[in-house]
Amino acid sequence: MKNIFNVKLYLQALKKIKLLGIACSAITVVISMLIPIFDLLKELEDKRRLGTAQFHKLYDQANIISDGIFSPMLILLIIFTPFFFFSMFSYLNKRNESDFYHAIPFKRTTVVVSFSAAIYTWLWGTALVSLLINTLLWSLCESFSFSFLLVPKLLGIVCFATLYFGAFTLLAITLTGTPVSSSTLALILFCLFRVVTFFFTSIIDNHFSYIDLTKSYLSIFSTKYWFPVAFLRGFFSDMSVFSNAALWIWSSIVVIGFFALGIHFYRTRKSETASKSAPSKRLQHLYRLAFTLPFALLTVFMAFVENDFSVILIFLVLTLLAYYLYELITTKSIKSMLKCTPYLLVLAAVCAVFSGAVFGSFAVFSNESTAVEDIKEVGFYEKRSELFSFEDRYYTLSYEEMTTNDLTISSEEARKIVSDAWLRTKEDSHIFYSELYQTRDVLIVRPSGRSIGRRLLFTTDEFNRLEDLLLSSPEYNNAFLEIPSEKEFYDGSLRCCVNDAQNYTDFEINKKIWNLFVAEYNELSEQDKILFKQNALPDATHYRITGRGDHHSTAFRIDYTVPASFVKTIEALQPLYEYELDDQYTMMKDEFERCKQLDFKEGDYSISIDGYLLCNNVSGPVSVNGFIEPVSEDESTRLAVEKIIAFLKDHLATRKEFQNNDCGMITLQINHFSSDYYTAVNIPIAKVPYTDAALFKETCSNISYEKDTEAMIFDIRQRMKDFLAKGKENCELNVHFKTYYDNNDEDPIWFDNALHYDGANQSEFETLENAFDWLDSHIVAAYDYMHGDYQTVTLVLYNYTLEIEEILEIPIGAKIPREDFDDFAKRTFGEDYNIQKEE
Amino acid sequence: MIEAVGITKYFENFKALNNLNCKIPDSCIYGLVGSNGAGKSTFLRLISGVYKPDEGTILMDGQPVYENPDVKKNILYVTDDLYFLPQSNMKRMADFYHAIYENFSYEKFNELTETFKLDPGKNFNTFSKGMRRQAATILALAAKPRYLFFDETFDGLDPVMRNLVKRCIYSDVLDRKTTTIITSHSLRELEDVCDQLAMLHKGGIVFESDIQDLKTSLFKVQIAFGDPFDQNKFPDIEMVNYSQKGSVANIIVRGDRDAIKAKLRLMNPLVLDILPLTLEEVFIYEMEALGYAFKDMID
Repeated sequence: MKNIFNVKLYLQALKKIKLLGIACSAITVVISMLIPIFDLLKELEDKRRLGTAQFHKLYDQANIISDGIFSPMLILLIIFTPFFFFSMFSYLNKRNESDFYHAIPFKRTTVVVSFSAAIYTWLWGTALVSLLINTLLWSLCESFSFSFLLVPKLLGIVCFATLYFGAFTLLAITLTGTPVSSSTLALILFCLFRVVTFFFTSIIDNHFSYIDLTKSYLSIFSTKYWFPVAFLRGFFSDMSVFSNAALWIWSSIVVIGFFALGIHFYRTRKSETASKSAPSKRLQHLYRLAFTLPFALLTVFMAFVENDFSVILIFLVLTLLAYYLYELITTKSIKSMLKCTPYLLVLAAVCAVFSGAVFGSFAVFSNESTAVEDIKEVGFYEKRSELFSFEDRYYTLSYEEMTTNDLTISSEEARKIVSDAWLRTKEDSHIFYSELYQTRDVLIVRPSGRSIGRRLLFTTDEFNRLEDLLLSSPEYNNAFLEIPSEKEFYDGSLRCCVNDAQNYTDFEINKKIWNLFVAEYNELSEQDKILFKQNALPDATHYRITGRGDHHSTAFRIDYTVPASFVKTIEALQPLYEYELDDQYTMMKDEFERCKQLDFKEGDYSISIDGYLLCNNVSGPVSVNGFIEPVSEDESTRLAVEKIIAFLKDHLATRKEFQNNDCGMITLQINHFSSDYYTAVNIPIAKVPYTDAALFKETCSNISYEKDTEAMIFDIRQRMKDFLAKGKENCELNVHFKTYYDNNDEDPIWFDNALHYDGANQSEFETLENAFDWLDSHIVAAYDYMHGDYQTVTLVLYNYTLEIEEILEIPIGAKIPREDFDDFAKRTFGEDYNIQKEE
Repeated sequence: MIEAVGITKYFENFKALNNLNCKIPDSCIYGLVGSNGAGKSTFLRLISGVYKPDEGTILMDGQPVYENPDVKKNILYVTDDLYFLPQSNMKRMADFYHAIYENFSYEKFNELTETFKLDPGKNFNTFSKGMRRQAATILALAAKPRYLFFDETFDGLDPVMRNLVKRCIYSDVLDRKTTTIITSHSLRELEDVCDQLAMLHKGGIVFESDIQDLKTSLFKVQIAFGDPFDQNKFPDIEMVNYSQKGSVANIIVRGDRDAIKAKLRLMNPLVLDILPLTLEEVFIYEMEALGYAFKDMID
């Protein structure tokens, strides 16, 4: 121990980085405190505004703090970590300083360990202090609660993260002799492996996009096991990513390995390395190659995925630039820069090996057998992430999706269907979206027991049959009807709520309610259980139970609506949420009152009942200029509002109707022109007879906007003329529009086209005028426009002389016959116009 | 005792020290002279444990130096390009030295700062080059090491301070029997301070001697006779160098001064003067005798 750590040296090291330490602590602690302080101030303000009694009524059950907001600013410590290492070991970059520290009477191991310990004292001390202060502040917030276990968990994760980033930095510093080379090498060590694997798997993925690489031997390269990604993703959310044991094992190996290497290279480091970019010429070549490798591999990547030689050439030049610039910057010698040219061959050789590995993988995947006898079992699964996604691309699975995920069957018929689909997909791997096929991720178990995932193209018949075969499996049914156990939920994640309101109940109460809920669920018949799981029970209430958890290391979520038949659960929930319902009902009534006072001039309004749009763009005249939307005159608006208010007044839901969810909802969506945002006002209405609702819709629809629309279309024609006048010289015009044609009454097909027009040529301009004539003659009629029966042509004009960009949207008829469209296309684009089918 | 045996040190392809051998006895002030790039600083770094020799061994009292804290705690190496902790002052550095050198004496430190009239609370950034050099010397002496190595330590010091530093080094050697090595590219700087002198050239010690022996064993004789003569007139005298202009000869002689003087007097010369040599002259003649072009070695 004496040779590893020295207290006196450690104390001196603490002093050495005192300034940075104090700055880091002050910044981190103060910024971290701001979140709870803001909440505390808000709470004080609420108390002042509502009065303490009302406040306590509202917040008698505290909101649980999610892991991500408890102290998110601790992330700053990760940023500070490299700075601490660079500051502490900066002497390794200067000859006299390096000599000084190498002359002191301590073993080098003692120096590096004691100095690192000082760095971590500052970092971890700051984390601890910050967390303790935040714990205290959050404890003072009466409207929030949290589990104290969160504190050591956060502390542990932050401490590990600082170790992780510190290990890379230390190793880089000990292997170099200048700040530039240290920083560059740290970056190389940090991400080179990931960059190489990223390019490798991306090429494979690009070539065989139906293959799920997360279920292949390449899955070891997944970012799931890369701590920085896991940390950034998990630290600000629920930290479920940290439950991955493989992540910790791999990351710990990396940390221990890199620290051990860092210490070893510090011990063997020559003091004269200071101020040299690398300890030896051989290492300088190695660093330069490592630095340039990502650029070179990017070129290789482009060569595989991009057919355009000019793009490849650009990346090749970029690679050479990176190669020579690295040498120039790190050695500051043009002679060295020129002398490193022969080593480009090594870079080329590395790229050749990389390409060979890619071709090898191509051969492996191309030759994989799709025969039925090579398929043991098949099943559907949810592909939730990509190998290199920053986070799971898709949502967390529901408990049902998770329990049934990866379940397979061995039916001969199912295997045959998959075999056929697989072969088809391999042969037509470029087809992803087709009306003939539908895609689905399929789990295929090989006779060896190895599971692979393929996104296969199925015909509708194949797909339905495979689904039926799967659903007929008892194992699948049992899994589908499973319900999570209380222990599987993350701490504090189990929540009860009414509608979408925040949860204020205590976790212990929630657990009791959950147990009541489970007991009542277990009493249901199998058929009812299926209906419940499909959210198809007819007696759904406002009450919901939500939660997140972990089932055998797989995250899941639940969001169950409590049915009215769950009497005991409802009885337990009702008293807890009485005030909440009151509050919601009162709020909505208030909104109704507010609705009466709206002057309908600040924006435009769309009105819907239970999501069904009644009328759109009810607006005052202020919205006319600059917006191609049908707008109402004052009189029309007044009439619409009058009808709405009258209808609401007659049909406002009672408290009881609201509580029992026995009501509808009118939504007024307000688009504020001035500030470009919208708000929605929800008002509960009683369930009215259909005829009554239909009458309301009719009265709203009968409000005429046609006059306003005509005026606006006139305005569009005027603007088209102005637009054309601007486009005569030195400009480029892009025309984007979608159209479709009636093709023997088949479904319409959409197109997207663009015209690139250079105004320098008068004949081209005449062509353009023709196009404008065509557009002018096809401008939509006011009635169709008002009813949304139109399509929009977008013209984007870049005038290089005036340096302006102008966009004009022209509404034209929705259904244009093919012949008519062809006429326009030929007049505008010439004979070689190109119609691209929209994907 | 410091013992270097067959030391070779490479910097990539450049051989900075080439099979260097030397023995430096305890309690002496050892001067190491040589031109820039001769290997003086490299030698000091090697015996301070900063560098590891590529070949050969360095022993201090029979113990290897490199990665040996028990030996290194007795060594203090004052580098040519001085280093102090960033934004620090002498007090902060004393605190640092106190932590890493167990013999560090605040009493000595205070005494020396008083002697040198330096403000220990002042930031080093406000110190001149000479003041920084004095501060480094104070800190080194206050650490009370058994071995003190100074690299170009008189650089930037005015004559008064140079003498003061020298006096402090003397008294430290006298009081504590410190073994001190001082390097310089200027012989004159070392002339009055060292017990032993060695000349380093192209990575090797080409000459090493006790300074007193050097100064007394060689001397200059100016002699003239009434009759013509040449160097064959002095067959019993060991001449290192002989030159004659007219009837006056200048002879560099090795041997016992009084005995040779008596012998020459018996030849009835018209003029006989025995003159002492400067250390530089001694070196020139000794090196020439060894076959080296001395002026190539010293600035």
